[in-house]
Formats: sequence, structure tokens, C-alpha cells
Amino acid sequence: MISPAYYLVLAALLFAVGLAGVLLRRNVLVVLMSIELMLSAVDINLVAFGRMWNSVDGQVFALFALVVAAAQAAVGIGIVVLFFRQRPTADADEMDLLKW
Amino acid sequence: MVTGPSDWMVVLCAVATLAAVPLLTLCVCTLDRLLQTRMRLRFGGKGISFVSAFAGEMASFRDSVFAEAAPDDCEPLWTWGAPFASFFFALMGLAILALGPLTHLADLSTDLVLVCAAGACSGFAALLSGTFEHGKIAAADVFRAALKFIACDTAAVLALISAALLAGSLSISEIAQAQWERGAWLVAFVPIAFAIYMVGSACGAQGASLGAFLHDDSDRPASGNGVRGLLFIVGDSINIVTIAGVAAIVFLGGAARPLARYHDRLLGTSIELFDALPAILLLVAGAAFLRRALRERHGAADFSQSVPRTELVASALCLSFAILDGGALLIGHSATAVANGVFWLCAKTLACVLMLLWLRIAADAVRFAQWMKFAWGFLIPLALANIAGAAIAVALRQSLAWSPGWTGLVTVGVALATALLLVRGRKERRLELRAARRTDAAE
Amino acid sequence: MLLNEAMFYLLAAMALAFSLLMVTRPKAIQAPIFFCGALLAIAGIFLQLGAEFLFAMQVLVFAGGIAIVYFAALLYTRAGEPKTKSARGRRSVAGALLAVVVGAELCVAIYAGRASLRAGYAVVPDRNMETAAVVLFQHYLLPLEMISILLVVMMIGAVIVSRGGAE
Repeated sequence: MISPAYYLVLAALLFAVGLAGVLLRRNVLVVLMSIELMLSAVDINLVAFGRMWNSVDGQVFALFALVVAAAQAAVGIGIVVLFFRQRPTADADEMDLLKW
Repeated sequence: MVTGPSDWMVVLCAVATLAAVPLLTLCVCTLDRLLQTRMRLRFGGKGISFVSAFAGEMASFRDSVFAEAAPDDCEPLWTWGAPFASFFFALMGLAILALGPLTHLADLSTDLVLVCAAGACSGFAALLSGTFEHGKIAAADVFRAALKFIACDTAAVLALISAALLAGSLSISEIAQAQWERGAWLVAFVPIAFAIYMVGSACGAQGASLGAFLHDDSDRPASGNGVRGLLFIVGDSINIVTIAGVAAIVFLGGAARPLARYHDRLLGTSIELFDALPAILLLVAGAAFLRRALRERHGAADFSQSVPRTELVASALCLSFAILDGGALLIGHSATAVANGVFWLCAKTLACVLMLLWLRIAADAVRFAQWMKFAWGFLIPLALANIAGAAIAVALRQSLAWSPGWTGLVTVGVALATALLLVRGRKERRLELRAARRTDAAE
Repeated sequence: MLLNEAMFYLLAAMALAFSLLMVTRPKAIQAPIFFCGALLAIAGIFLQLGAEFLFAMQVLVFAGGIAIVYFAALLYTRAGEPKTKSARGRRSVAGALLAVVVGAELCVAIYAGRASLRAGYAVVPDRNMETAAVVLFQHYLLPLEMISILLVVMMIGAVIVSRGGAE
């Protein structure tokens, strides 16, 4: 079996790439996608540790994280769509007012 | 590098699947064309034969491949990536079927969900590539088709889950095994789930929207041309075969023969009657084709030359398979099991393919709003009622060990109650009737 | 065994490549494609780790659901594509540097703790799905029900939010 360290390093790198996406991109939807990528990286971590300890709890926890990610995606996209109706932009730099 | 023999078998199986793709595509496309002609959707009358449909299909492929490839103003990554993605996912579904239930090389314990996932992704990829047609984003059509696909596919997956509940496993091989042990096909227990699965799958994945475009020669949109169009057609056909395969194995018992519990022997020999059924059926079919060929040769003069040829070839095939099957019967039990298993699986898959194609053609007549109402108001609640019934049945039989009679009664009662609760439209119809009666009385 | 490692490297390279492409390509409409590819590679990693149900769920929910919804939302908000170049400049460099630092820090932490990482079982035991289901419904029943309530709340919230609040 491959040592869990490889999976952890992969998860860390994916997490860093997701973080870069959150910080660098202007389009809000791409930012949301990068957040989802970070959540997937954490899933890899959970499953790798679950396999290391020979238990299935890692998968179950990862399943819950997946469901939460799906919920976050749906509500986040709803908010972006709502904002888009007020001001026709999906640019994070232009969403700088607390009320419009 | 140490790879065991099973790894080579997996590679061989993958290569065989890839090689079978063109053959399956041609079969499905020809059958589709035949059915469309039968249902008067395109020219050709009732006399079209398999061979001429085949030739027509090859001609339209050839024409489309050399036509213009892609519209000008399009997102190249999507326009070229989506057909490949759709083909890849369709192939993934077929590979899961080939590696799992057919050859038992790589049985995954969640086969069923994976095949559904592959089909769903393939359908989505095909739909989403249609967003960049004719230079502008045809988003509204795509969203509508996507909504229809989501609704129908949800109903289909829910119907599959009720079958999986009864068999006790999500792995297709184990569902087939459970049916073999029980001696009855699952469709005898959940016929409504089978119907929902067929209707949902046929009218969902690439149903009336893209599939109808692709098979209509006169008006191909930009997404139907060139290599991209070819990939879409291949992906669509593979999807149909995969869905039919899943239906045949999960609901119709796969390689199990009907009435597996009846062991009546054949006229004093040691061959079981229903084991000899494939050979008898093939003999009868071969004789029928031969008779049709001979009769039409002496018939009217203006039938095309290809009609007798098709019948002769068909009858020759049937008779040769009958001889093979009869030989297997005489050899012994294991050869019989293999030969009969292959026959039943192929026959059931063919039947399901035909049913799916017919349903897809017939679904063109239904409007989008009617579809939404039908899917969300009828199909999905019925599928949920099926799941409730199957869960109650499993719980009563296995945990509480009730007798089959009482279990059946309570199951049907619970399922009916759930269906009546969930299925929309009854209350509205009742209110409409009441309002109509009131206006009638006022007048 | 060698096939196993080769598959891991291939899937890891795919996941990293797709995620880097998603983060760096300027055209936002291409991002969901790469996102989908990265998610499929991650699903392959799950399968390799023996999590069959999670593999199916990742393909079905993430790649087949969430990526599609993102693509639909991007189509809807396409008119809002930025016409001006990004005025971030130094903030972009700082952001990239921060991501690199975090990644490096995590890798250093893993390297430092590599002694306590065991190998785990070599072959995933059979009936992984049944074990997961038993554990889910016996030990984690309460979180499961809470997740269901969360999903219902999410659906209602998404409908209300996208309708525009007060109408």
C-alpha cells in the first residue's frame, strides 16, 4: 500500500491551489469553485486517515463533508444569482457595497 | 514488474469493450432508424429492411463526418471537450457493466450507482455542449432539456433503488445472483419500478432533444456535424445499450431463464424443458424468417432485392445459433448454462433496447410542461412509494419474519397509501370538478 | 503494486493539473470544465483508497451535480464578464505567495510527522459498502439526520434566496 503521506501531500497541495484560487480570482463563482476544491482536498485527507486506521469512519465523515459542500454550493450560487439581478456583475472587486 | 493474469484479463476486457463500441453503435442506430420508419417518422414506408436501414445509417454517418465541423463563435474547449467527455462517460458506464456483471473481473460493490452516475454525466456533457450553437448561446433550450433530464433521471434512479433494496445489494452482480437464487425475476416483484426506469431513462438521457436532432438527416444543427456529431451519436448509442443492459440484469434477471424453479423434463430425456426453450425459440425464428424469404421471392416484383437477402441471413443466423444451442444441450449442464445464459442476456438486452428506442420516439409528442408535471407529480412519487413498499417488505420478511402473504398485503397497502399521498393532481382535479359543478349549478 | 502506484501518480498529476488550470485560466467559462476534471481525478483517488461509495457519490454529486450547477450559473452571469484588466497587482502576488507558503507549511508538517504514519491494511476488506452503511446508521445516525435537515433547509433557503426575498 502507498504510505498515507503521499495522499496527505496531495491533499495539502490541492488545498493550497484552492486557496490561491480564492485569493486570486475575481469571478465570484470561480472563488466558490476553489472553496469546493479545498473541501475535496480535506475529503482526501479524511479518507486517507480512515484507511490508515483501518476504519470506515473516515469515509463517513468525508460523506458528511461532501453533503455540506453541496449545500454550500447551492446557497452560494443562489446568492450570486440574486446579486447579479441587482447589479449585472459577478466580479468580486465590484461587490464592494454593503447595501445597493 | 509483476502483474498477475487478472490484470491482463482486465486490459483484454477493456480492449474488447472498445472494439465492440462501433458494432453496438451501428446496431442501435439501425434499430432506431427501423423503428422511426415503422412509426412513420421518416420516409421509407413499412417495407424497409435491416440491410437498407444499415446502409442508410452508414450513408448519413459518412455525410455528417465530412460536413462542417464547428460553428465559428464558440468556446472551443466546451465545443470539442463536451463530445469527448460524453463519449468517455458513456464508455465508462459500458466498461463498468463489462467488467462487473458480465465477466466478474472487477466487481465493485456500488456498481449500480456508478453506472447511473456515468450515464448522468454523459447526458449532461452532451446537453451542455449544445449551448454554443449557431454563434450564440442557446441557453434556454439547454436548461429546459437539463431540467427534463434531471427530473426523469431522478425517477429512474429511485426506481433502481427499490429493486436494489429487494435484492439487498447495490452491486449488479449480486442483484443478478439474488434473482438466480430466488428463482424469479425482480420485475415480478416491482413491475412498476421497471416501467418507471424505462420511461425515465428513455426520456431522460439525451432523449428527445439531442437524439432527435442527431438522427434527423434534414436539419442537423451545428453540434451534430463532423467528428463531434459522431462522438455524440456513439455516446448516445452506448448509453442506450448500458441502460438496457442494466434493466435486463437488474429487473429481468440477466442470464437467468424464466421460471427457473420448474424442472419439468423434456419427453423422457434428461434435458429440462425450459433449458431447451432457447433452442426451440431460435428454431422457430429461423423457420419463420426462411418462410418469409421464400414467400417473398415468389411475391410481388417491386420489392427491393435486399428483402430476401436480409431474411435469409437472419434465418441462417437463427438456425446456426439453434444448432449451437442444441449441441450445448447435448454436451452437458455447464455448456447449457453458458449458452443459454448468453442467449437470455442478449435477448433481454435487445428487447430493452427496442423498448427504450420506441419510448424515446414516442416521447417526442409530449410537451415540456407536461413532462415536468408528469415527472415530478407522478413518476417520482410513484418511485418513492415503490421504495417505501420495498423497504417495508424487506423489514417484514427479514427482521420480523412474517409470512409472504401478510407481507405482500401490508406492502401493497403501504405503497398504495404513499402513492395516494404523494401523487399530485388528484386534489387539483377534485377542486376543478367542484368548481365546474358550481358554475354549472349557477348557470 | 506497481500498477497501483502508477495509477496514484497519474491521478494526482491529473488532479493538480486540472486544479491549477482552473485557478489560472483567465476565461471564467472554462473553469467548470477543469473543476469537473479535478473532481473526477479526486474520485479516482477515493476509489484507490478503497472508498467505493464515496467514489460513486463524488462522481454523481460533485462532478455530475455541482459542476453542472456552476456551469449553469456562469452561463447566467456571463454578461458580467470583466472588461477591464485586474487592478490588483501587488495583491495578486501576495495572494499567490500566501498560497505557496501555506502549501509548503503543510508539506513540512507532514514530513515532520511522517514517523507516526502507519501503512494501514494492504487490501481493502470486502463489503466496504455494508460496513459503511452499518456504521452510518448505527453510530452516526444523529449526524445523518442533521445532515438531512441541513439539506432540506438548504433547498428552502436556495429557493427563497434566488427568488429575491420580499416579493
